[in-house]
Amino acid sequence: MATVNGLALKRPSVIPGFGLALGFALTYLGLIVLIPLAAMVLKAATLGFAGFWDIVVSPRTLAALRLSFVTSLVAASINAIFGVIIAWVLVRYDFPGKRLLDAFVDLPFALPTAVAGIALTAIYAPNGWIGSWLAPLGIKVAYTPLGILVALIFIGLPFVVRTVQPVLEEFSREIEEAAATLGARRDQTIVRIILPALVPAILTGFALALARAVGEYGSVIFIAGNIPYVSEIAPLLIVIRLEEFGYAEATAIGTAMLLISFGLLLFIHLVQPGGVGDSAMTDVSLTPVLRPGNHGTEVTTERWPVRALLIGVAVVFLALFLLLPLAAVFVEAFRVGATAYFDAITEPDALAAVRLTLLVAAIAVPANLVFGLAAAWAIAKFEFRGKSFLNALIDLPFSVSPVIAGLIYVLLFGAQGYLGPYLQSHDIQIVFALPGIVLATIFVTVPFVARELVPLMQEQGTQDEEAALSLGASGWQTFFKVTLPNVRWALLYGVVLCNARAMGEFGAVSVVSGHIRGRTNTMPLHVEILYNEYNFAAAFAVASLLALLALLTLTIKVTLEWRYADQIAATRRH
Amino acid sequence: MDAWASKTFDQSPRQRGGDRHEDAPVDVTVENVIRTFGTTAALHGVSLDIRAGELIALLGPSGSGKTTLLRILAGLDVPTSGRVLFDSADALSLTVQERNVGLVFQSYALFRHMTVLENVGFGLQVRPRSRRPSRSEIKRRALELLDLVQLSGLEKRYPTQLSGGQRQRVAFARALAIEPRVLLLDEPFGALDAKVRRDLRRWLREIHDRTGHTTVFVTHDQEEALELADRIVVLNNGRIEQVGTPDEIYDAPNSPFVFSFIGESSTLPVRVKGGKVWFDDRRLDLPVRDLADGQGRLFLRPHDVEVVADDRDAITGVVTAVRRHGGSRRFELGVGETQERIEVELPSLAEQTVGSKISVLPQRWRIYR
Ligand SMILES: Nc1ncnc2c1ncn2[C@@H]1O[C@H](COP(=O)(O)OP(=O)(O)O)[C@@H](O)[C@H]1O
Ligand SMILES: [Mg+2]
Repeated sequence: MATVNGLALKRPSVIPGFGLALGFALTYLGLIVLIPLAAMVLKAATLGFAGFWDIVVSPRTLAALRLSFVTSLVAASINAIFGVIIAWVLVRYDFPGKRLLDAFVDLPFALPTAVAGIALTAIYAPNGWIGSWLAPLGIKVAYTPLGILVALIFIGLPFVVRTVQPVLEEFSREIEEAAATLGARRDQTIVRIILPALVPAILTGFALALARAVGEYGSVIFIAGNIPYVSEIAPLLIVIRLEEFGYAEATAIGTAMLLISFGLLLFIHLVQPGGVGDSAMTDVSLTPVLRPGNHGTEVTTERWPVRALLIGVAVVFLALFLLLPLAAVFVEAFRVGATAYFDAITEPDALAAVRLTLLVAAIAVPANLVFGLAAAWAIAKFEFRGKSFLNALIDLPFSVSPVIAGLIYVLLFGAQGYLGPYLQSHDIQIVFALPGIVLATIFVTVPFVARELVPLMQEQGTQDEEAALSLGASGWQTFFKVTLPNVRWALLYGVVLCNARAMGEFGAVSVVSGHIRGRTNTMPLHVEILYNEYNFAAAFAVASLLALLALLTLTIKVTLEWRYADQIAATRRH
Repeated sequence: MDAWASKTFDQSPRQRGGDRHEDAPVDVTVENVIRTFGTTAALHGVSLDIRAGELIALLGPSGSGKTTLLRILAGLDVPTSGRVLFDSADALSLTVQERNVGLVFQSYALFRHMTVLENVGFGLQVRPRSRRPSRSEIKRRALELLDLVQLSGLEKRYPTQLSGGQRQRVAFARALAIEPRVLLLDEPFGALDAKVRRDLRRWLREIHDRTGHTTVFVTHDQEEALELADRIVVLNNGRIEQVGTPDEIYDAPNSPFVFSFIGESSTLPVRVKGGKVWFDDRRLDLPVRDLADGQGRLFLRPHDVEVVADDRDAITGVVTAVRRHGGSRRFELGVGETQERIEVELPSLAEQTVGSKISVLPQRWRIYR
């Protein structure tokens, strides 16, 4: 019976299923994430340092890397500033339409990137909605680095808002009142008391937005113009090299991107004030609870002109970057009439794309659901060594570019890949076929369900399970009758977000799909093909289906948050 | 005690439903149980005999190891070493499920998504088919238990729609539903307000007398333990200080810890010499029979003192503070050369005030060294 606590892998517990859950979670992560990533690093290693370095510092690569990281840093900074203003306005002020606006902040999480890309292009192209107004002033947005910036602001917008919002909601009014009684003016209170308290959340949101922006592919390539040395981002260069069968170059660029990203994230992690904990980076809740108007007294709010200005800034920013692109999708879809619209979405290739998209999601989402449950069970119900490592590993795909997610499977399963000859001799096709598309989709959506379940199950603890066990329930009975019902809404929440990303994934799928019309084209890829054929109305028609999916996702998400806030996650409760 | 236990056992509801021998209340024997967490020990070799059918309190300050011991009994935790026997069978080799103990958690751990009725019926619902009562039988028994805990009519509610005291009783009924061999309650009234606590105490005693389960309840409230338990186990820092009836514990505490933890107390440094007790240079008029000479500490209770007119053989001090205390008055005295503080309780009509001189002799007291 005696156990040596220091040496045991895990603290003894009566809760069953540790081995099964941890074993499954680790095997899954190993097969989907770690081994493929290792394959890329291995491939890069075979280049030798000199070979690797030559590729990375070649002018075209260097220009692409510089463009990617500089535009991402600028976009994340802009998002940090406007994110704080938006979070402030949403938490502190009341105005008509506030709840709707709050719900729309998550649009970039739900809208497929390819759809965002073509919509932003329609707005900012020289003949576009806003572009045509800017052109006479000599300002060109689309097909320049400025266009890249616009796309990156769009996709990174929710991060800072959603990390700052809960902190601001928790911030005690009494502290502000105390500052006021001590003689601080309102601006002094904000600058010296409130903003410092927000810094860790701002940095976390900044880091997440940055990681996302650096790897972004789908929304950028439509608006960037993709001119080498000018507006060609690093993920695109990887795709171009792959299409030229330049596996060594693609691998070197991918590895360099990974290294720089991890370096940047580590740096931000280390400069976080208030100690270095993995909690700040990993336990980020991207969704706060909306609570009824937070009316401050005179002391703890701003004078009305300031309020009006801040609300104005937030509303205009959100309208410009979120509502306008969404509107553009539907307007462009119906530009040549309803008949063309229905023809476009009922044409055989479009239907095939819809079917493939549904099929891929139907495999990827349940797989990640089972993984999420297993990982959350191990992490939340047990104390064991390496737990924070596992926790960090789950988030890893969030900081890997989707293009790299595709690349690693090509390096592993492609004709030139490590397993290529074996697969070919056995007539098994993974890349450029359904299995590859599914794998790449699973990779990018691995964290979604687990991320929702882990904090909630950690907060719920093990008491309910212990009660059920002591009443005679078996392990599986406990799981199905007690644990699962306790997390059902959070589970649905995670599944909805996972599904949105799975159906909308572009970069990773694009690399492994092969773009065979009617066979390996998912809906986002079909949008791209139609768009590149200048069949804009049809592209927007198919895109509008994806936009509807995004709206449905947001609706379910907001409904869950409003009705079951207390059962979704600890960080969302008030 | 045994006669009482078997008498009440006859009225047990489990006699109607179950006929399995193992449902009968059991003796619980804890032998030299040690439990360490990392380098710190939560239990340092605890041994205890709990008799079938008795209501026993584990009493001790926060962190003394009460919950740890309870969880070991329940099978939710495993001792680092030592044995636990139910009757004479090894309990540690039984899983939680097999152990068949009813555990009422400190925070109740009610299943949020189930109604009151479903919560109470859960333990029967999850039995293997061969031992599972029919659906209607489960419902009948759950309703019967809800009646026992006086919650009839609330069976369709969810836990969040109940008051704290009601939740407590649902948790209790749920634990009773599995016809437990031992009933374990962790701070059962800890989260409730004073009035509800007193009502539920009486109610628990009544239920226990009707059902006759071997019941162990944890509390840090000495008043609760004294009022409710047949016997009290005083725990301190993972060790048992004393086991006894409430009277034994209160009237004959065997250590300074028990004396000061149970009821209020004051203490003074004294010397014993030749069968006499000395405080500073005064010989106190306290009979000590078989105490060897040496230094010691005198423990006394504020309400167990008598004011004496003759101050030569008494503890004499000057009043430094007066407080109202229920129907009487508390006087804080500074006594002796070092102005030791003691508290004494006198009738509210006492005319002494700050600065007055008072001489007292304890009526009940103990000297520990
Ligand atoms: N799981 C655990 N890990 C580490 N220490 C623990 C754990 N459980 C209890 N302890 C320690 O054991 C001691 C006794 O705790 P506990 O049995 O909960 O006390 P009580 O219920 O009397 O307040 C405490 O010092 C506590 O910190
Ligand atoms: Mg306790």
